Amino acid sequence: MAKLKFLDSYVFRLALGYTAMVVSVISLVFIFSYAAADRLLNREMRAAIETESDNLSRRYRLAAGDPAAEPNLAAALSEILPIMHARDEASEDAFYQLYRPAAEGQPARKLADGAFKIDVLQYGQPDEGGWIHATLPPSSGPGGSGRARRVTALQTTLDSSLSLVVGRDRNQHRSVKDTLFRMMLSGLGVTTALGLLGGAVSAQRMMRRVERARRAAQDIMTGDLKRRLPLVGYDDELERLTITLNQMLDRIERLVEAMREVTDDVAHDLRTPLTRLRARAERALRQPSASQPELRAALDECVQEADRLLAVFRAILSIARLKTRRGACDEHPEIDLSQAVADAGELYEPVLEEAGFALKLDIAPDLRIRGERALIGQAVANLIENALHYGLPPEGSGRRPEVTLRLARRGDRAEISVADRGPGVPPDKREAVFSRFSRLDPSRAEEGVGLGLAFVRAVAESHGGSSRIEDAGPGARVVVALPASQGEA
Amino acid sequence: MRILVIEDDARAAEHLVGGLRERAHEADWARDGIDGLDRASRGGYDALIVDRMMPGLDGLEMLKRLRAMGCDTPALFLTALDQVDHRVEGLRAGAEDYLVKPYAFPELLARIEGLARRRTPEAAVTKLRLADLEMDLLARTVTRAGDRIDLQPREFRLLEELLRHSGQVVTRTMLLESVWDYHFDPQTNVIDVHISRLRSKIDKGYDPPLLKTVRGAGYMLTADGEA
Repeated sequence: MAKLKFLDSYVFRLALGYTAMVVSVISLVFIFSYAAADRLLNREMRAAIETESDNLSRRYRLAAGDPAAEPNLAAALSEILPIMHARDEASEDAFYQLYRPAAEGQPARKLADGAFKIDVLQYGQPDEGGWIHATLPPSSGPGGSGRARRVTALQTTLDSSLSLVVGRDRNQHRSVKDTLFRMMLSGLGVTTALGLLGGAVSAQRMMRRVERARRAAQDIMTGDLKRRLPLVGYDDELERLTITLNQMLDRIERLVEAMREVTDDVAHDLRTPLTRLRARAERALRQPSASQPELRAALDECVQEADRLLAVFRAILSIARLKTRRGACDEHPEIDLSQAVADAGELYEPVLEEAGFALKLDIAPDLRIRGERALIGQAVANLIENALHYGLPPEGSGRRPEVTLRLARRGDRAEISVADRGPGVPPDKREAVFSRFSRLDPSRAEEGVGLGLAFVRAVAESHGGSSRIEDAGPGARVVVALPASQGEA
Repeated sequence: MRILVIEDDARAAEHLVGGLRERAHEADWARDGIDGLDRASRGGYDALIVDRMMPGLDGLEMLKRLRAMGCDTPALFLTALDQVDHRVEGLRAGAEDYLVKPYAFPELLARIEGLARRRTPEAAVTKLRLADLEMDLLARTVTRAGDRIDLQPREFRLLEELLRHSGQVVTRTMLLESVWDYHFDPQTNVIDVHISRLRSKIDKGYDPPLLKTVRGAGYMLTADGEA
């Protein structure tokens, strides 16, 4: 079963079908050429018979002399009889015979009985043209081929008392035809063998590739989502299919990953505040002597905690959603990025000012990207809020609080950056701050939800861009680089 | 105001109807899309609150049919789906406003009262006025008691929005949506600071103060002494 698996292969069946088609075409060609050759050889044989008969009868008449005078029949007979005799003996396939024609109720009789091999007229009668088609029983002699012989013969009248029969075995070109037949047969054999072999080999190779892909798919199915279908390195249709399937797997992995992150986050990070909320409500309920204002305060706290929970929940969902559609912003219409960034800056300017920060704007005009204005706005808002929370210069540094919002073109990217003059981010933590729920200072865990930069990164990546943190010397600068539309400087 | 709440969740509907009645509105409850379509099409309501996802006839489809029947009672969609596409889809089906669950009740109240008020056509208005505060929408000027007040473009939009809803509560989210076209909740009190700047320009030195803060809800521009 395992050995002959290629019989089940589609490629092998394809090769089999193709081979069968080629073989039948070759067979048809063979049958036609064989028949044509047969006809040609037959015609030549008849011509040879006619020539021979003509020759013999001319000799006979020549020897017989003037037909008007008394013909010398005996001389004439002795002229052709030895020739006929010799030729009859020389070849197995040549037949000669002399007859007295049928007359006065007597059947035709052989003359010179015993001198020739066979009495052709015994097996067949001449038609109007004198042609005889006879089938002879298998000759049993030492030279006999052991099969029935088909003979074509011509009866020619020499004179009123004598007729001549010259015949040939129709199989006299046997060897020619046999060779032809063998050639065709071996041709067919080779074609079939090559077809089957080729089919089997391609089927094997194909099956190996498909089998490898199938095994990889099975691994993926059983949970190894990182696994990909193997590539072989040719640019053929199967390879292209594999590449597309792998891209599909990338996307599925990303979706599953995002989904897993959401469930992890929900389980991990909503449990604590939910527990806190529940505890707060329970404590208020258990205080029998609690006054009205005390109960109000407890309820207020509960509502605040619930709002914070909802904010976290919303942030988790938006990040997950952004992650599942990485690069999908290509399909968005172009927006005026300069305007979008300026709008976000304008929204925050009063808040910054009130908190004692100076806002410096350095926004290059007319920069456009494909994307969603609302997402860009929210990302910039997150960056500014981040600077507001963590960008206060350390005490004693003498620096004035300042936030710089910049938009500049750098190569094919539009770079949005928000810099503060705070303590900055140590180089070894610059990647970590983009992960969800990370805060540099654990003691400030109550403030914010820690998802701000994770959201910024998700927005950047959903627009086909990237995000990083730099040293603003002093302070931290978060840079969001997005693919800029062409044509604008 | 007579308000129809179309919501399949009985507890949510109870909260809504109860809350609306506390604010002296008349509120009815329809338990599904079919019932809602039936009641709303009979007319007599000033506003509809429609839950987007309901078994059977969902809110989107219900509203489309209602609009096709020629009923133009303003409607507010309540939904758990907060993606931009969903918002656009809802507005396209004929909803005037869109609120994502969970919401704060004052937010819903402010929006639904704003909706019912919006029915009066405002296209021809070129001047908005409240007490001695005047806004000329064509000349883009603002005066208070005859004094010219200089406003930034965004402050002008902010004041315009408040003036159009004068006497009504306008929430921070509503302002963020209508003035900045943002649909997210900032972590900081950005709107409050914009409002206090505006207030210092239009109210400082004049009497009575017009721009009031409504605790737990938002802001209101009103000439009445008490908010």
